[in-house]
Amino acid sequence: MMPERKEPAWMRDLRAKAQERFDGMSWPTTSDEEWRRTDVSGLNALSFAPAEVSAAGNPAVAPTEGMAGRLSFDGGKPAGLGLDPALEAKGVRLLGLSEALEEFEKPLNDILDEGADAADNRFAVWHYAAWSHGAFLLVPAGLEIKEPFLFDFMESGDGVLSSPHVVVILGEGARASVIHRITGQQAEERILCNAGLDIVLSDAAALSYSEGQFLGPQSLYFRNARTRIGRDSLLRHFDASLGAKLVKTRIDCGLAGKGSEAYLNGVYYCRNGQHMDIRTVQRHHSASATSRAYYKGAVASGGRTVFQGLIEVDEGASGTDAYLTNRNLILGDAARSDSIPTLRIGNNDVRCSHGSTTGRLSDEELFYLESRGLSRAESREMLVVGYFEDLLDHAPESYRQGTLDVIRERLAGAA
Amino acid sequence: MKSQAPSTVDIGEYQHGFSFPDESVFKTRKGLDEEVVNAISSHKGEPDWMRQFRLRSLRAFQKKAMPNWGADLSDINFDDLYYYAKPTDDQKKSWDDVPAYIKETFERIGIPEAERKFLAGVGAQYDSEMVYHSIKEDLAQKGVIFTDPESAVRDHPDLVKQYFGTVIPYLDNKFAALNSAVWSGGSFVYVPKGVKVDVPLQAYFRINARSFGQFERTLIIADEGSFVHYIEGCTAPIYATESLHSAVVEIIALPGSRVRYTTIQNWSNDVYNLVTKRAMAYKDATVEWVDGNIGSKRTMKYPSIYLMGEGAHGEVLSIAFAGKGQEQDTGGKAVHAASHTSSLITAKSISKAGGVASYRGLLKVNEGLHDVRSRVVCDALILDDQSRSNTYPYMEINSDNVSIEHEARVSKISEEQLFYLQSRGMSEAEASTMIVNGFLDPLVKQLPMEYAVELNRLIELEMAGTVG
Repeated sequence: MMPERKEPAWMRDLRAKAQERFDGMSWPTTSDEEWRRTDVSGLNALSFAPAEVSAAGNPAVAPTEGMAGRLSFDGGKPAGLGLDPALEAKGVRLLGLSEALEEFEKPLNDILDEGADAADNRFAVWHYAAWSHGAFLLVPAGLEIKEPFLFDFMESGDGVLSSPHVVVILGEGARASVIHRITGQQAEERILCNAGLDIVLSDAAALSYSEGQFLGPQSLYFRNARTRIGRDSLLRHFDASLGAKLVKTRIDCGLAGKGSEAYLNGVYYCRNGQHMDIRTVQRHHSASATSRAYYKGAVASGGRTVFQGLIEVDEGASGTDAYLTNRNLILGDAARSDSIPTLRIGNNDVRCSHGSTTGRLSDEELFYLESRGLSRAESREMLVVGYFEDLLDHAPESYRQGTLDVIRERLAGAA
Repeated sequence: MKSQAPSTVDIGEYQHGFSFPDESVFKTRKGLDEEVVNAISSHKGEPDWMRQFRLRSLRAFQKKAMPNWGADLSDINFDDLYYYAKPTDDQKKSWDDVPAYIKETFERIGIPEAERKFLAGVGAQYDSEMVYHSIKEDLAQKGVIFTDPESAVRDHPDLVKQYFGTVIPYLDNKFAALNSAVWSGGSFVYVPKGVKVDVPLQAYFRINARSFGQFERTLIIADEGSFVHYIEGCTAPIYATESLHSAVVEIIALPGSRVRYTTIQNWSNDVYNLVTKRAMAYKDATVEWVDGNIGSKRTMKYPSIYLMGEGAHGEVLSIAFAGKGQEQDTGGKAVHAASHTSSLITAKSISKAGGVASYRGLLKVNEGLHDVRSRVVCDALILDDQSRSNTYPYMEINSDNVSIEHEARVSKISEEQLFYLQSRGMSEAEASTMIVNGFLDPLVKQLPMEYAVELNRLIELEMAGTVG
């Protein structure tokens, strides 16, 4: 079922090993804790046809104004690669993941092997057997890049399986920012997107990584993200889940270095007929690390969200400071929102806490705005957008605006 | 009112590590099958409907899988346990008639003193049967029934048939099915309409026989507008082989009533304590669970409240102390099935010397409700670097007009507080104990005095030898 690829032997082995595990596994069921609230039994995932890929390499395009670089895919096919020549000269590498396999065998073999080994459900294992295309970015040590990179995945094709994988590596002290966009080209196409993401930060590196998922209303989106962040490094991750019929994502954020910091910020807006199941894991392996997960969602009538957050602190991780917050805004009566923020703490020298609130728009605030002459719809928009806005404060402006615009559109549609 | 109870207890011996030779007059063989269930039922002289209920439950128990979450239960061997033992021939009416060896055990825990002072009735359970039962006459005259469930099956079959197994059906979970098959002893409480029982009803449960599963069954029915506070304390002597305790407690709080149920669980550290406790709170009714878990090897217990009618309110206060080799998997559940309902779950846990304390809870709001408020607060203190604390709150919200809040914090004893107390001349151990007591204080205040005293003493014992 796998298309022929010219790949190095280690990658063929990795795929074969994953395929073997895949064959021996069954799909997750609602008796598996992480899948208890998301039933995939009727999905018929194997009926989706793997996306066409191309070995042609990415056509060079001029880098976009205000961007450090850009890599686009039209379905599984490369659709343009542009990198600021000044950055290229300083050693920045931006290329398709397939093209990076030989040159970056050592880090990629380590990262992907570890990810494949850690994959604990059939979708995640499937991804490693079947990943089809993707992006690779390396920012060398000491380099600070202000403008963001853009990874643009424009999915297409009815009944297509797309399995993109992204690897971002920052060298010591490097700083960069990435916007990662997943869109559906035709609203009614039914695409199964089973994505993977690896973020590796060397010591004292800082990365801002903003994912926005805007697939069409028939599509299914699975994503498994992993991070390894080194000593004194900083990750700001933004995650906007706005599209797809079914969303099942996980970010497993391993704080491997002393003094490292991770901020996981997420927004989700769930419309009628959408089901979103989002998991964050803050895994404190080493001492004196800080992590914050802050996810805010809104659920309209007929929508269903599940947020499952976990803070896990290893025995040796003293001085851990971790916080997990989930807030849910319920916008309609037939909406359902589950919140499961959990803690597993194995060290006593910690400050760990979590909070969760679920409620609806305040009548008083709506009344106040309406008394100032705003319509009901405008008041709602102002309150909902305001609710999400502060979470996206540190995200790149274009991403922030784009995300809020989609939320406004959704609200207008619902009014 | 001052309790004299503490004076009967020698603190040095207060480890419940004493036991007496097993003098049971009737005991089933080890293991569980239809024959054993029939033997229990025949021995109790039960009507056929209860025997059939037990047999149905046994089949459910055999079919149901062990829970695949929570504490590790893999080393329970159901074939190596006794399911029924009867210690004396008859239930005694007066304290003087209770055999000396049983009395001595209770004396050590301090029951008679407490009873003499201000308890309304004492149902003391020694192994399976209630050996002693009394209730003050004025309550009996008001129509309050406080007895063991066997007597209730015999004397009040209509009430039992109407409510028994309705809050926790035998199919609910494996351990509820087990209890339904082999239940023995426990309490049956009925409070008639409008009657307020202003002194707590109290029952002590003890396990004495080795490898003995204790399966008490408690059913409390508070009729409209009534009030009752029921207290249960649990203590078991220390044995090398593991014992299983699996109780089922059902509470029905009819419209306008209020029920408070207090437990201090101090089973010895070889007991598996797997308990299902659930209450139904109807219109304008209030149910409060105060649940302290200090003992046992592994406890899984999540007192639940189903808020069935408008105006119902539920509270769970949960305290857990997980010491060496212990796993306390405890918490609370509130299920909102009606509008204008509220719930509050407060949990405090302490883990020490490698102990694992887990909060596990559920907050559920059914579809189409409005004006539902709930708050869940968990606080955990980890006393050393070998111990663990977990928090698993589940929140399932299906209605929009709700206000749900949850917070949890995990921390250690603050070095500033320790330093301050030590600078005032306290040893580190004394200072730690004081801080732990302060941490639990808001919950301890909810207990009747003699239980607060007992709990404080238990915490002091658990804290002995703690540093930092």
